[in-house]
Amino acid sequence: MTGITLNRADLTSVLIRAAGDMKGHVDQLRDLDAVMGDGDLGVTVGMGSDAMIAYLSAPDETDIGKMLVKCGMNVNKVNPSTFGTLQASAFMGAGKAVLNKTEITVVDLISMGNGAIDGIKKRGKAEVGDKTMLDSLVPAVETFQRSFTEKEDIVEALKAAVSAAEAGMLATDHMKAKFGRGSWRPDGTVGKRDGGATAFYYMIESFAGHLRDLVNNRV
Amino acid sequence: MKKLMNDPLQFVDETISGILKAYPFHLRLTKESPRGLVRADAPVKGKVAICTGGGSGHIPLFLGYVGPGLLDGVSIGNVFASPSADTMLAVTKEVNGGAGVLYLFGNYSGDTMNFEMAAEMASMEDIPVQSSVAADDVASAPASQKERRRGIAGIFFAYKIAGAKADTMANLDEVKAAADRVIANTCTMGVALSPCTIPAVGKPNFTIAEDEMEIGMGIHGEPGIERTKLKKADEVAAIMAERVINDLPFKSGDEAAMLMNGLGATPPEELFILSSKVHDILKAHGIKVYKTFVGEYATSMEMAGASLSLLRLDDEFKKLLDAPAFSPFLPQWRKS
Repeated sequence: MTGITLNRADLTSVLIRAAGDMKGHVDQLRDLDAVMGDGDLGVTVGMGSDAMIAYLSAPDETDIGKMLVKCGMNVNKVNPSTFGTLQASAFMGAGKAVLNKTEITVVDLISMGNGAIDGIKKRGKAEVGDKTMLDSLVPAVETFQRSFTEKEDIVEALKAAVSAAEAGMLATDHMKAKFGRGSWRPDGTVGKRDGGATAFYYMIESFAGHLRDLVNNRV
Repeated sequence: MKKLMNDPLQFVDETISGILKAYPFHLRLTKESPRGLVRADAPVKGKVAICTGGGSGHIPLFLGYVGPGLLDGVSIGNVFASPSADTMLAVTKEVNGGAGVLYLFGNYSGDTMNFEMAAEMASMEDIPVQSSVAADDVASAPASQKERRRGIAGIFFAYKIAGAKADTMANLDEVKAAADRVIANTCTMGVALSPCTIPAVGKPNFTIAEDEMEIGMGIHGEPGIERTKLKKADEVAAIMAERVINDLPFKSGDEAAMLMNGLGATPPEELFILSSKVHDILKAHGIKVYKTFVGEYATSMEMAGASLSLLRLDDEFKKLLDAPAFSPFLPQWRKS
């Protein structure tokens, strides 16, 4: 299995399923966030997932890039919290990387990942190591890119990306928060896991899992 | 939770609807967003428009500062949550009178990101936008990291002075410069005695013992500097005053405007007791109080507590502070 081409329906079905899975993590994310943030992360993720599902179930764009940008704007509209806005920026960045495409390849997927990272960095001004969602997203995209370039096996690359995202999430336990409410605590939340990195890990895990199913079903 | 409300998820929209019915000649909704409010006479042709925005739960922040001599429009978020960039853009378009728009808001990551996004979208529509970010809470970061500080009640001074500056038909750069200069010369310090409850959450946002207070706590319950036994009003006033004076620092011979702000559940009587002591302390430091404001200017729903803001004045600030302004949420304006 060297590569795969996804059309709009493939991508929306994977994203809708991943968004559905996220709703199962809402309580856990709320509790994590209440320790170091203001406790609204669970609500935020739940509302963002609903907005994704609502828009992607009947997208008004055939261009995959524009569709992702609009999906982001819909997430921001219902959910302009820090997390929701960064999640929206990720979608908008990913969309801008694949404008004018009605089908995407694995190479496009990598561009989308990097576009999402750029969108988050530009809006949030954070870098890897600052105890944010980037700590699970960046290693996942990097690892996916490296693995696929070396082995050209998407299933293998997705597995490696999920492991990298998990390791990145776990590493936030030892990081000091530089942004948001956590950074105002005297201890900088050292010893606590980051809610944003955790939410992104679950998203990556679900997205990769459903994409893998889709790939395996085609073989 | 003991609140007079209906559906917690309708809390903000029902508040807005009450305000529009109460002040129909003062404010109106934007066409594109039910969370955007603008002056009834917007846009004011040729004047720089000023927009603010932020989470609900802080009345008179933020919408209470929209009016002649003050701001032109406001974007309203859910309780303690940023409004969307979409709403901000809708407001921007309706207040722009051709001279550009200043975004003047408090330093919180959600608000900052959404205003940045809105500014990008506005520039695509050829509306010049600049931003000034209020960061006056001395308890939230050291003076060396002022850009990390949260914005709290002291933003009132920036609203008043930037609003008056815009009324002189100054250009966008000049209005922004005035706002930035106010922000650089404003320091605030708060103390919280009891928590508040976000309607959709249903339980208090923090817990604190009956006989305790938290010095430097933020207006959303962000952790402060120290939690101690509740002290007498004079001691609390002294803690707040010393911290604020030493931060800028204010020096003997300075003139200042002072705001003693109530967080929602603290009665005016207690605010005047605090204000009285702060006056004495400022006098002892040789700092002259030009104008005093006492009351609710930035609240946190039913949180008990107060904050002290000081603005260092110069001749331009005094003139602009005294200029006429009107909002039904503020006391009648008068000369010092």
